[in-house]
Amino acid sequence: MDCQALFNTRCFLFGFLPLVLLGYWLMPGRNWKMAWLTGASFLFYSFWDVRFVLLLVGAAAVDFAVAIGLERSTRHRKAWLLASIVFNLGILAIFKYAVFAAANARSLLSLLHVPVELPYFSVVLPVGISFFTFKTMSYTIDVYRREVPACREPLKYLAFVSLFPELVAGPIVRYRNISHQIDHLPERPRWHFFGVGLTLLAIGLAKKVLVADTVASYIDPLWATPGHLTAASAWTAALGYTLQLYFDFSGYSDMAIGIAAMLGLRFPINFRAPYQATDPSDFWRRWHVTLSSFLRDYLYIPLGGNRKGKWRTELNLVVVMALGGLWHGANWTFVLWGLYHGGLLMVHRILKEPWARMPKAAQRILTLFLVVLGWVLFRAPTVAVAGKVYAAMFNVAAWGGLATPLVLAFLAGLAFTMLVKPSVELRMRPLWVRAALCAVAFAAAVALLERESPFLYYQF
Amino acid sequence: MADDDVLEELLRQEAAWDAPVAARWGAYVKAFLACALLLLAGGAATNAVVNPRGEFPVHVLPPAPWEDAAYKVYLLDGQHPDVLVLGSSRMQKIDPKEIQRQAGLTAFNFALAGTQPSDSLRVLEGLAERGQRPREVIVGLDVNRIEPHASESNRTQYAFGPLHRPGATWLDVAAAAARSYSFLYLRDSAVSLWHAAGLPLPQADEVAFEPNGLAHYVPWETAERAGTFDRNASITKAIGAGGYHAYGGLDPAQVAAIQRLVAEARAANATVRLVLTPVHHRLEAAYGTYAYPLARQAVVDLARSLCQPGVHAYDYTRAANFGGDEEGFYDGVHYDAANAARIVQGVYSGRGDLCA
Repeated sequence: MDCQALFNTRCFLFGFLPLVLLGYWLMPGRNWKMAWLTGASFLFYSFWDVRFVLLLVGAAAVDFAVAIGLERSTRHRKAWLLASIVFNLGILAIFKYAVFAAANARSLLSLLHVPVELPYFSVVLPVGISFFTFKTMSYTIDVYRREVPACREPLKYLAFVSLFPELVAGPIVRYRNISHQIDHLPERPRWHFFGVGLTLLAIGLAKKVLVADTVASYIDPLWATPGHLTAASAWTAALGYTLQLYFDFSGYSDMAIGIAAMLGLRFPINFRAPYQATDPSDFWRRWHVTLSSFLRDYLYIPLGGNRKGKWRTELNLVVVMALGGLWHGANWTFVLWGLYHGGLLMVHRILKEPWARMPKAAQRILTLFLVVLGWVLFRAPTVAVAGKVYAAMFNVAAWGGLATPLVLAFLAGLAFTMLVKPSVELRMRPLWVRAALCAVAFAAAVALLERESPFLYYQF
Repeated sequence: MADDDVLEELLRQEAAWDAPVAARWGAYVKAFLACALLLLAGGAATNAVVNPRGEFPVHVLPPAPWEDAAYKVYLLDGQHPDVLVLGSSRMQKIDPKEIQRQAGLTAFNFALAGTQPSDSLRVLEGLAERGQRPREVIVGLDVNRIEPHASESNRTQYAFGPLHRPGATWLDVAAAAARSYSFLYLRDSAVSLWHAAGLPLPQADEVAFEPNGLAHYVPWETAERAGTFDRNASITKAIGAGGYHAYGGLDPAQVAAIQRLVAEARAANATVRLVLTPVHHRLEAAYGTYAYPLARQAVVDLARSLCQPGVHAYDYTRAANFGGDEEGFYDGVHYDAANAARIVQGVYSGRGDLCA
């Protein structure tokens, strides 16, 4: 079996995960369990690239030391914090943004006719780097704020940083949420946690393999040929991607939460039916919750939040969303996507009252429509491609042929997401029928694991 | 922006559970695992028993007809023909009955669509392991399919796969069955069961085989009988499907496979007849004056280099070389029954034997 750092592989589901669970629950005591979990997490990461395990350990070591220094220091606390932030953002800058920055600098120099040749280079983007750097950075900031004590156990800290269920694509688990749980790891498996975990694992896998990947097989060819899109195919591409991204990422999050539950751990919820949002602000309370709360706590509030007047609040929102966009990837499309959402939040704040007077259904539909438009920027490889897709979508003269079977099917899928409860909020009850249904979903998804398909958020 | 992110629904639920509910979760986990195991094992076992691709050493049902390698193994079972016809789809119209007429030898056509010489070698070796040792092999060589860029075939991976080789254990069978658990394999099993039950397939077979392995191109031959088949248009379509404009030398692996095939056949005292298969003159013209002639010359030279007692080679790359009909093709490379008969006549009359 070819193993990769992916949940949706046979190697992971029938090899890695059962062995890790078996070993974990056989380990006597907390320290052995932590060691086993850490070893398993490093092995999981090494399936992607063993060299970058060192980067993970290095990042963990620096923040571990910084946090202790921070706690001990009385005079240089800010300097310690700055060291951690510079280090973490430095890692991101080197691995994620250096090539992008150089390309933009090159374009700028050429525009200004400055005869300076910047060297061309390429950098391997370590999978999950955006997630684990944010995680470690949030830890040192929390220690700085005296919200959590610095961790004094290297093994515990390594277990936290490397925790394989959320290492490469979230949810972003903060130290303050997991520390107590790691301190009190249960001795024996708890069946109810195991049951909930298996259920979420099955639902998440089915969301990813049966829905997201199937939708992708229809829309990927459309995104590959943006120059040939008609109005109908452009809407197919946009609506399909809206479905794909939600089922892909929330499926991954379900699996992560489920695997953690089988280990006796509780992860924060990452999706709360985002397409049921009634306004742009509500959307961000439901979509990728752990990221938006991270941005709120570590960026928006330190910038002043809504405490410094109306216009400063709007500016803060736009800045935070633009940086949130850039976090997703080194591409202007992500920055524009962030700015777009920042703009939506700003406009919504201004038009709050007339918006609230609309019927709830209209609020939901309008919010989803605006979100769909944003996903075009998010999915497009370049701004030019996004422009082509928008042009095709809004070619009003061709709207007569919009009602294609695929457009209708994707609309039906979106209507479904607007109506049903999200999987993590389902009332979990230990019923035979539910166990059988989940097993059927799991078996159906496994049958389609032939196609290799990384989760979309792996690229971030 | 978001509210606090640590709602932890699971914890809240746990707090609401009483002891009997918690105990029922044990049964829930066992039910999930039992159902999942049943479905996965059931699917894998179905694939192994139905055996639609002929991968497993199980013979309860005939393999699916579209798996030509497995199907031909099934047809050949119990027969011990003197002559074995090997090669790609371009050899599938060679009629064993014509061979019997010309040479008085029983024959079986084991040509498989889309294959290369390495597949012919695998078939010869695989059949030998099953006790099928012909006195003569006729091997088709397609000029533009012996190059590194020729798409690799997987036609023989199942019927001549590891489970059919000596030393395969039940553990290997179980592992293969577990691997077979996939949507496409299960679909093949379902369609195969459907077919075995005598129910019509949703799509008519492209190719149907006689018990001696002879192929019938169902859509083409049906249309021809109905007088609606336009050969000219079909050949034009084949020309439009792709060109042949670059020759970079023969694939050493394929050359080695041909050499090994000849050596193994000769070691078993079998006569070897290498037939360079024809293409329609319009297709050859469309290939241009550079790449195809170079490739053809290379294959002719290769065939000549294999000449030895008991080995014959025939350059039938043009219909004229075997006295065939220039227009006797369904498309650019698949000739009709009349041309196939002339090829057999040419072979047994020694026409154009490069080794003579």
